[in-house]
Amino acid sequence: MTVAQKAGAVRLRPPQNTVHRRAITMWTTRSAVSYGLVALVFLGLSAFVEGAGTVFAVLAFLTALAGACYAIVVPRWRYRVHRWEVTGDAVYTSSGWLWHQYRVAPMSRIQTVDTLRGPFYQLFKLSAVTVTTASAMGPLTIDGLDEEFARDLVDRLNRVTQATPGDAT
Amino acid sequence: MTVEDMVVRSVGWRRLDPRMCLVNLRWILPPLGILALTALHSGSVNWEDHKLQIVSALLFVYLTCSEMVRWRTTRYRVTDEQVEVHSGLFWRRHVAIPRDRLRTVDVTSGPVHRVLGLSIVTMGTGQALRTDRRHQLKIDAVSVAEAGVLREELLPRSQPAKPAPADVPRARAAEQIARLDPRWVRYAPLSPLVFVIGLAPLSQAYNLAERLGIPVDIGGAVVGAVEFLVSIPGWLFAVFVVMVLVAGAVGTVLLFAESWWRFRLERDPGSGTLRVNRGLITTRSFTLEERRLRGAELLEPFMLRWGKGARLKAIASGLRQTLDGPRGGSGALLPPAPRRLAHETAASVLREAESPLLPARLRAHPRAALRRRLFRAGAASAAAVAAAALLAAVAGWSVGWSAAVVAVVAVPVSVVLAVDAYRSLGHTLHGAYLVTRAGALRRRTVALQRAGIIGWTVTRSPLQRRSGLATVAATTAAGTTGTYVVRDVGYGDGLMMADEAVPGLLAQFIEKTAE
Repeated sequence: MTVAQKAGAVRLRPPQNTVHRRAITMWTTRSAVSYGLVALVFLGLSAFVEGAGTVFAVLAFLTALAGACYAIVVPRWRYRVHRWEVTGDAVYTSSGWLWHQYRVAPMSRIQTVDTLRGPFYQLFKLSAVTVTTASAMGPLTIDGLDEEFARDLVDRLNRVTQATPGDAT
Repeated sequence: MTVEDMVVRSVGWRRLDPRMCLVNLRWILPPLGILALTALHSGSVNWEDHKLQIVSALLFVYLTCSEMVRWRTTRYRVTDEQVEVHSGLFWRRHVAIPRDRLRTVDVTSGPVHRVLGLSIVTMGTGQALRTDRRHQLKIDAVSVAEAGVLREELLPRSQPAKPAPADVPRARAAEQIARLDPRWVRYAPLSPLVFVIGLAPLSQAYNLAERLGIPVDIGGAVVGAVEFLVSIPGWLFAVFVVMVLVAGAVGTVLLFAESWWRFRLERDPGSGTLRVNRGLITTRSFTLEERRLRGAELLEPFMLRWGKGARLKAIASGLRQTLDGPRGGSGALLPPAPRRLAHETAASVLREAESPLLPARLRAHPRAALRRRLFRAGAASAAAVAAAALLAAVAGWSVGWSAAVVAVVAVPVSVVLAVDAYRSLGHTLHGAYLVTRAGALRRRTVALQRAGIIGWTVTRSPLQRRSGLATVAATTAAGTTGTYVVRDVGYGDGLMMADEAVPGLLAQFIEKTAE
């Protein structure tokens, strides 16, 4: 039953599909906006707080710098790591950038499949698909699929899981 | 709907026990006590000084009124399909839980409840993992007898709806798995609490002083106490430490007695449930369906481990996990007990010939896992030394000496902990179970039924990728976090273990490496 007899000679292969390329733009925008807001708050403080103006100005600058680095580097990196795959009997995802996380959920143990669309997702016509099992660890997420495509995928997964009997615990 | 149906439906509803309205007496008794105490102390009562007590008394009146409303408006019933609770005056709430979703039934009675002859019945469903109130039904409170009846009613019957009188004695013959051995009390002081409880009277004294309005300069008291302890001769300091430890030991023993008095673990073959009864002042009864059982975990906090003791907890889907305090969480199957006995109990709870938790079969993890732990120990020691040097510089002490003293303590301790943490690491597949162990200060061995695994999560940090390690977690419907982790296992080893544990799931995503 095991794939290889010798330890150390096997590894997980990456899942087959990437998410949509627009996800990079979406993640970039999202992190730029959130870092930008923090930088603006610091900038505002530097204008209004007596005596600590320089400190806050420096903080605002540092936040903007860190935000720029993060927004340029991390989404591209994340895109290369984040992949997904649906086979006949399981859902398989990989995610993260520094820490890599591979998750597998058998089709027979899936409870619900949903889509999640925050404001940034709607702006870029993207969806996150969440696959929930009975575990308290939380759902598997495929973050950044094209809206239409995600809807079809959710329909497909729901049909398969509803056809599987049992209470999935 | 026929007339008989109507009768059954209206008859089925039951009320709470009216004595529940008196439970809030605990709000009025301490203020009255304090009033009496100050009246005795000063000869008269100055109401200006007792605003807190007056507020407390008003609170009591309010709570009692609202409890009376709650008593009037709350009804519950058990039908063949579901349990229903109807409550509320302005905000009507109707909760119905299908009976086949009920996983656990807890019956608890606090001291006030016991004086009044009451019990609280809490029912948990599978979704209650995150102590979500919507998925938990609490009936607070009914008479002790009614609580027993409810528990019998709620858990599945082997022959549904046929309580023939002849069956009753047979169904009562529960099989005893474990009971309290008074000698286990020797494990009670083997807890970090032993260092803390001895100091508790001081904080209580401060509380009382504050309530009686005696001004206490707490900062000055602490500084004074430290100065006093530094100035006294060494032998007196030793006596003081011994006294604190003795008080701590007495405290932990009392706590043990409170939590585990008359402890009994039984299996009821008729309903297929496990039941734990325990408690001295607050009695607890915890019932778990055996088919929800997904495994067991053995906990060995470091002091208990020295004493060759261990605790045992159940892993079950839908088990409401409470904090794992000195009283034992709600899944506790044993008090701190001899390790050998914990293994025996695990074996009989899981219906196995031998405990799957036994350490002999565990496979060690790669040396790289030891290097990781030693590296962390080094980093922690360096941080401690740096902090000590910084503090010394601020306080004007000798930086070199302070750093040296801290290093002499921190380096060996952290290295010993790192080595022990590495030696704790282990995993194996044994029969129907995935077994994994980790932890130095709090060693934890988990045996999880392979059939209860509902997915895998493999995590690799940059350093783990470099050293060929991975953290492989089995996800399951049981437990607070929903995962049981095999930490820092060899990457290939871990994948093959996961593949073997749940055949046919991971194999399709595993490939051979080029080399």
